[in-house]
Order: sequence, then structure tokens, then C-alpha cells
Amino acid sequence: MKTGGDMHVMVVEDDETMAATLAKGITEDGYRVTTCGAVEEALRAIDLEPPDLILLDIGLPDRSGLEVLQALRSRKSLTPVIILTARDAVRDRVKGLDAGADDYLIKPFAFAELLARIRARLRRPEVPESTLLQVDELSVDVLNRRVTRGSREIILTSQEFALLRYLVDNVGKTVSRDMIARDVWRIESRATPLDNVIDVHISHLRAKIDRGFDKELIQTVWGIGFTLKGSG
Amino acid sequence: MKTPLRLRMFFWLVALLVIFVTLQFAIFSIIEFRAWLHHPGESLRDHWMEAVMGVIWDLTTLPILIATAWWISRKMIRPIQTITLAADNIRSGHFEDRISTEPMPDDEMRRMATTINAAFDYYHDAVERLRRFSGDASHQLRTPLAAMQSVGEVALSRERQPEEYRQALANMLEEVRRMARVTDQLLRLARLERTEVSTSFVRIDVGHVLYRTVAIFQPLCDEKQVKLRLETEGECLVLGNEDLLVEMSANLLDNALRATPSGGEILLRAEVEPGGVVRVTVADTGPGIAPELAERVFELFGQVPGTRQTGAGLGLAIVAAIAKAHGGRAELNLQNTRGAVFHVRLLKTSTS
Repeated sequence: MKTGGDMHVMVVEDDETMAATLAKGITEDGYRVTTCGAVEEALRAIDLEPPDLILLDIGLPDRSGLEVLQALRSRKSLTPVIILTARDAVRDRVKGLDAGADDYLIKPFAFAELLARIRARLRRPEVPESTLLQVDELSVDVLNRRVTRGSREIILTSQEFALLRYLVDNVGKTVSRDMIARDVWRIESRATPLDNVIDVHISHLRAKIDRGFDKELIQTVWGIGFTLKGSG
Repeated sequence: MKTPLRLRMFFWLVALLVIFVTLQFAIFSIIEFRAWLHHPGESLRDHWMEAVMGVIWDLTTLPILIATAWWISRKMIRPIQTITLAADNIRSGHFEDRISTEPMPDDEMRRMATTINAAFDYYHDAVERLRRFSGDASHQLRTPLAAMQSVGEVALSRERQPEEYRQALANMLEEVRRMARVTDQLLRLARLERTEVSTSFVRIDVGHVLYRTVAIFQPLCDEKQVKLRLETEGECLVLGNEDLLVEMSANLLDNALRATPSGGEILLRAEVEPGGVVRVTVADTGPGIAPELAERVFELFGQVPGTRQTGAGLGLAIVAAIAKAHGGRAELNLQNTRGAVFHVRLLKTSTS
């Protein structure tokens, strides 16, 4: 089985700044990245060395990026494809998913979100989900909704518990406010003003989890979001 | 609807029949009465019966006539029902549907249906254009936004060397400039559409406008090794706004410069045409534009595919809008086989 570092992600994107940035960010997350800027080039590159996952921009200079997807699917290839596009009309989205895309991310997107989606698509079979999650001396009992840090029991509201659980599920990874809004609050639209609500909950959670301890588990990643970090 | 049109029409037809039968009975009676006057020996009652029998015969045909009336009323109403059904269908979201005029005879009804269809075409087209515009506009604004967000987030995702931060900031600023440009262009187009610019018009020499434009672009052309030629012929005076006209010719020149390879040439020319028209020509030696795309080049975001342009596809739309604001017209010369040749025709004004 391949490990993360051997996983090959192909970025098909014509905007040079965007392509270079995607390549940089994804490489730093531990993947091998190649980029192409046009449909023809992408098809040749896929033939030459089939990637494990493709990030596909739709608006390419020579033809529609959907043609890459169609060519791929007509060859019965199951390579996961995540569409990156600035077009969010429902009919565009339906067209993309109909053509066989696995996921659809609308520009602009949070980079942490992109990395999370890539991980989700490349996820290897996992150990059965545990009901007792542990980060350092913090333990979260999912079944009984009990949270303890060391010997101290922490009482959380249900919203705080959901937020903590989400952070623990993504331990060591950065999650953006957009991701929290979608996955914890179940609100998809970025037009809904939730950022302050999330910040308030984070600060409450911090007060309960981290106050009185030397090590802060919940950390702010400046300009991006939050991360829950153990020492491991 | 208390009484449907068809039922009313049917009643009118039946009323017509009743009037007809009554009149016929009256006429028969008069004829028979006159016949009796000529032959006074005969019984008046027999003559009266003749008239009654005539009408009774008439009445036996009544069922057929009523059935015909029912049929005629249906036939007359049919086109209206077709139109209503089709319009309902279109309203409920089948925007491509139209009233089928095929089964209708060439009459007023068909003309009405054709007119309604044309109106639907017009509004459908307008809505489609608007939809395309908002899609394209959001695409043009989100692409730089996406790049900015990614560049920033990737830069901040770990500790880096100062040089890397500098590079990231420079990249972000590049995207900011790109976005600012698209925003300005969209605003310019919106303003040209909304406001009456002709109130600020003064007499302007188009040759001077082209000269100013050339002066702005000369360094860029030198760098790209493209030769710039400026020709003026006659008294090219128009009523207009100089800044707007410079913006127009700058967009044309910018467009030509993108298409022209190094070593090529761009010609800017202003001349007076018969009929009181000043013609501006911008011709390049690039690959040219296929005739089938000629329609689209002046549209919003109507980029010529395959050229891998860096612009958003708004420049030529601005050219067309400025020409229109001056009562003129921008067009692509289709006769030309080598390079692209654009003309803008403006109304000439007199010296005094």
C-alpha cells in the first residue's frame, strides 16, 4: 500500500499563480504533485503516469476541463477527481457530478478544506471508529458525551461538544471556519455570517479545556483557522 | 370564467339559427298569404300549413346545424387554447418551449402567436445573457480571489523564509490588481449603460486621440518589438469625450498588441469617409479572428478561444459601449484575411 508521500496528485489548472500555489501547498502536506495547464497536456500526462487523484479546473484555455473527466471515465478509470471551479450555478455543479466527478469545490476555498477533501478521497481503510477519543490527557467519550482532561471532568454544552469532537476528529490538522460552519453547524452557504459565532464557541471551549493547564490544546492558526494539537 | 368563450360563441351561432328560422317562417307566411290573395278560392288554412311545414322541414336539419355550430366554435377557440397552454408551459419553467404555429392557418391568430413567440424569444435571450453575465462576472472575480486565499493560506501554514513571504505578498498583490481591473471595467460598462455621457461632449480631433494612445503604448510596443504606425487623413473631428475615446482606442490597441507576435506591426488610422463619418481603424498582423466568432468578440466576456488571453474579455465590450455612447459603431472587418482589423465609425462634426 502506498503511503502519503507516494500518493500522486495531478493539478489541472491554467491560472499560473493558482497552479503553483496548489502544487506548493499540497506538496507540503505530503503528496507528490504534478501540474498541467490544458486539456491535451493533461490527457497525455495521465496516459504517461496515472495519478492517484486529480484536481480539475473546468475553465481551461483549449477546451472544457470536463473533457478530461469524460475521457477518464470512458476508459473506466476510477481515479478520484475533485473539480475546482469558480462557477457555482446548480446546473454547472450537476454537469460536473454527472460527468463523474467525486467532489466539487467552489473557488475561492479554504486550503485546509481542500486538503481535507483530498485526504477523504485518498483515505485508506481505517480502523473501526473508537468511541473513546484521546489527545494527550484529554479524553472524549463519544457515547456518554463525557469529557475529561487529566482527572478533571469538563461539562460542555452540546454545541461545544460537537465542536470539540470535530477538532478531535481532525487532530493535528487545521480546520477553517468554513469547514466548521459546514460540518458542525451544517450551514453550507458562505453568505451566512457565522464567523463570530464560531469564534465565541471556540473561546468558550478554550476556557473550559485549556484554562489551568500548561499546554494549550486548541491553537489558532493565524489567518486560516484552528487546530487541536497533542504533543504526539 | 363564468361562461367560456366557446360556449358563448356556440350560443351566438344557435341564436343566429333561431333568428334565421323565425325570419324564414315570416317570409314563407308572406309568400303563402300572397298566393292565397291570388287564388282566393283556396283555403287560407292550407296555405298557412304550407308555411308551417316548410319551417318544420327546416327544423329537422337543426341537429346537424347545431352540431356544426359546436364544431365551428371549437375550431375558432382552438388557437387561443394552444397559445394559453404554451404560455402556461413556458411560465412553469420550460423556457425553450414556443407556441406551435404550424397547425394554424395563415391568419390573425397565427400572427398573434408569432408575435408572442418573438416576445418570448426576446426575453429569453435577455435573461440568458444576464445569467451568462453574472456567471462570467462571478468567475472573473472569484478566480483572483481564490488565488489570493490559497497563496495566503499556504504561506501562513508553516514557518518560512522572509523571501517566501515577500513572494507570496507580491503574488497576492498581482491578483488584487487583476481584480481591481475587472471591477473597474465592469463599473465602466455599467456607467456607460446607465448615464448619458453626451452632455459632456466637445469637439475632438480623433487624430489627436490616436496620437495620445500611441504615446501611452509606444514603450510597451518597443519592448515587444512591435511596430506602431499612425496615419491620419482629413479633418477627423467628432463630438465626444476625449478620455473615453482614448480609453476606447487604448482597448483596441491593447487587444491588437496581445494578438501581434514580436516583429509584427499595428496600424492606427483615422480618416474621413463620405457621408459625414470619421472611421478609426486598428489593424494588427496577428492570427486574426475567425468569421464565425465575429459576433461574439464585442460581447461581455466574449474572449476569442484558443488565444490564451490574460484579459477578462471586457476590453472590446468597452470599445463597443463607448462607440455606441458616441452614436457610432464598432465592428470587425470580415473581408480582411490577414490579422484582425477593427473599425469604429463615428459621426463627423464641422469645424465651426
